[in-house]
Amino acid sequence: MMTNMAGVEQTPEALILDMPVEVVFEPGNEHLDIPKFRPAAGVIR
Amino acid sequence: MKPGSVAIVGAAETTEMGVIPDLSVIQLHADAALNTMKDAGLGPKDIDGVATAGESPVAIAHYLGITPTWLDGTAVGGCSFMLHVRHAAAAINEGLCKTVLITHGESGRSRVGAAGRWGSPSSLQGQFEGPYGTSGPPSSFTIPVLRYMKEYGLTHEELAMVAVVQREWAAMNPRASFRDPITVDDVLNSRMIAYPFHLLECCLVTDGGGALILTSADRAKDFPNKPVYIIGTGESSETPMVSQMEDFTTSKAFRVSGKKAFDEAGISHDDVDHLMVYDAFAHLPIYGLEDLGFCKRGEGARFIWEGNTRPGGKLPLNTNGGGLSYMHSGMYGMYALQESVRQMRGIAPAQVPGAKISIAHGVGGMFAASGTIIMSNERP
Repeated sequence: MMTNMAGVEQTPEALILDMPVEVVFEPGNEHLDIPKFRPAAGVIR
Repeated sequence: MKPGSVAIVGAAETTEMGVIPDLSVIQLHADAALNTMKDAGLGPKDIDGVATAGESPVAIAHYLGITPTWLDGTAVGGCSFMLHVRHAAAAINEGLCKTVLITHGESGRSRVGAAGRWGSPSSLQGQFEGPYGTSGPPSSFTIPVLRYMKEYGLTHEELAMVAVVQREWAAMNPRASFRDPITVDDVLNSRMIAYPFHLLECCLVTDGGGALILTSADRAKDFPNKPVYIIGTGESSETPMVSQMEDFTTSKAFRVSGKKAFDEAGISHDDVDHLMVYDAFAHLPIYGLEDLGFCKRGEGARFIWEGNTRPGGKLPLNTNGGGLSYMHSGMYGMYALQESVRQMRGIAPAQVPGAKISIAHGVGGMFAASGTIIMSNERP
């Protein structure tokens, strides 16, 4: 799926392909939240 | 289709190319259409089939005074014109019409009379990709190559070389937008647009158009220019959302369309003298070389790096300079077809000596769709 990475610097160096991630739900509007992903716990940021 | 049963008997681009602030989209279509009719020695009354994308074929037919018995408004992005050629060949062979005009015009830079840029928010992309900030080709078409780079070790330098080699071709073309030689360092030092793509690895945004006229091969000898025969055709699609590609390192639509065209033409890769692969960004020729079967997976960039596609190489590729250096109005497929026709007529500015078989391969959307046309100046 297309999504955004959260809680990590938006640079090629920090955004490592295949890094383990976990979902976070960011508030969208009154009807829905937006699923995004952050580096999984334990992954060095 | 039966290979060689239909021919291109008219081909031309707009009178001007690049920045054309005084012509609207439909005027660009018309300018290309009139130039093409002149090239074929025909008038609107001689045309009975119309195909276009971006505009309605109804609007084009009415604007030019054509009464069609066949219309095709297939609009699947930049390769739509490859699909129009394929559909027109089928229609001519079926007797639905005799003489088809395919037009393209786009005010990509000046935006005169141009439709809105983005799709509907209720489309699949609008619902599931747009909310995350992808806003058109630079931020979505570029994504798959990151997987390719990891999988095959493609380097930034190899990606940059695609643009360098195409500039060598553009240098020979007086109508190309950019003609000055560039180096790998020039490319890597140009402004970053969307990682890993620098400015010189992204296609141009210009104004222009082009048109083709097709008829049955049996009639083709009655026209002023050397006929260019359609000997193989293919089309396919994969997904409207780049994020849903089965494999980011290869385009399924490319593979299916290409194989269909090769099978139909009954030719081998060694038979191909000239190749056009729609290059919206620098990774497209690499995917095209591999997905059409000219190179093994992961070897396309090396093939370009080693000089096989440059002037004098064994497989001249994107000889007009491509979308990276020649022009790119938005739906570039028409210009790839135009260059294949010029090469088959023997009149290209960077003519490949003795070329007999040419392939024009297009992409639609972000690896969403594909169309492949194989042409020859000899009737099989």
